Amino acid sequence: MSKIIKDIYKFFIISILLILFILPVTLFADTSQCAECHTNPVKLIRITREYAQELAPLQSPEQEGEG
Amino acid sequence: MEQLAPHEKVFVDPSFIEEDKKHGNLGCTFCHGGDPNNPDYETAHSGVRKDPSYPDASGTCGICHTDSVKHYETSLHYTLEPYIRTIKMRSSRDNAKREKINTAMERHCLTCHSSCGQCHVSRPDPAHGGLLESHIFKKEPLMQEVCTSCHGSRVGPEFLGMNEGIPADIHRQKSYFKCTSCHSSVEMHGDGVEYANRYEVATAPECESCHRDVYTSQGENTTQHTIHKDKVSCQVCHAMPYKNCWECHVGTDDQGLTFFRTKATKMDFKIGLNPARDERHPEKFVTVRHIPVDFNTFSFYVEDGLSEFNMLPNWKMTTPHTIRRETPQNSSCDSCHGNESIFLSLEDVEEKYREANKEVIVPKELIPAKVGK
Repeated sequence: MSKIIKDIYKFFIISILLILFILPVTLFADTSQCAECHTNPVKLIRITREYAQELAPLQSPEQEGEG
Repeated sequence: MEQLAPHEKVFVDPSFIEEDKKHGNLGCTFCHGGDPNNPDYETAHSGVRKDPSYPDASGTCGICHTDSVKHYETSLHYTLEPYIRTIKMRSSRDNAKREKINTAMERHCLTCHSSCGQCHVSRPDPAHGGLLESHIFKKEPLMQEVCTSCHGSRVGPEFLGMNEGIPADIHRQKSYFKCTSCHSSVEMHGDGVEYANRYEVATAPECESCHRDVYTSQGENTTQHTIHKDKVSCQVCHAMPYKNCWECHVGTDDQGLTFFRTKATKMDFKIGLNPARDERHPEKFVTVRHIPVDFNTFSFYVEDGLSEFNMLPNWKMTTPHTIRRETPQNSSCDSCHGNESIFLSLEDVEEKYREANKEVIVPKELIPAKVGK
């Protein structure tokens, strides 16, 4: 009987440890919108085109010579 | 260097997330913030830190890379101290004028910093940014996408042999050196000392670190090396011509966008007097390069802002990256001795800048006499 209790206890401890180890990784892993867009070139091309139209130019055309 | 397309700048390789167990497992928001559950890209990016390592890397990179980040704020790539210090020295002592110079500096000069991320993950912002290899971390920054994307007007093209008629630096051509072959990570990351310029940095490269035997009987050409030791810098004998720049003027256009204008550059080689001889740079003669700052660099913002221009020379001590074993000036003794054309003379310097350069101009009587060989 005591062996069964010990085995259950061991199983319980190992399970808790596994959960503690895996949970943070799972929580932090963004399988969400960030990865969905930033790993999808087709989406990115569309979005960055839309976004680029709203952006002001970064550099003045009056620039001349080497910096 | 060609810019990346907008989508290339932000594309993340899925293998970064899946295979980089150290960085990829952290999740985007750990470093960048933002809202990962929001499908609207505009609001999802609210609060996003594009470069989580700038200006403070301690909460991101610094958590693990403690040693590298510890002194990062003393790195010249972070402090930009040489710009700040030299412009300050040349600036008017009038506080109102100084304020305007500071504004101009903030807009035009001090945007050229770097950071952990802008060397190891993306191209630097001054080179228009964009992820290096789709967010895969590069322990060693890529030379042409990172180092020479900023140092790309003078040092980069010199080192790579991109100036017409001037071969690549021998270290590049023969041994395929990269910047990191000489410039260590400690030099880049800072060592806790706030240096005024790169020549002061304790871990800055020195030719003799590799060329250890040039002054010993085992070395080649020991006699010449010994005769010239502490009299001339290595570059005086071994540098080919390098780029000199003139008249950088900055301003903003009608739309408020910043611009600079510089005059045409010129490839030249000039030996000047070392204006700051010290234990590490005891040589009397060094190579000097014309730098782009002039009296009117900030005239768009304030007239006479650099009224103390003469405090420093604008022919500045330089270490060109055009090194060759054989150069025109070391082909014979009299290629240098008595050859007035390669020494910075009064005639090489515009009259209005002679006072500023008085410590580097070589008076004719100091040019070593011909030896007839």
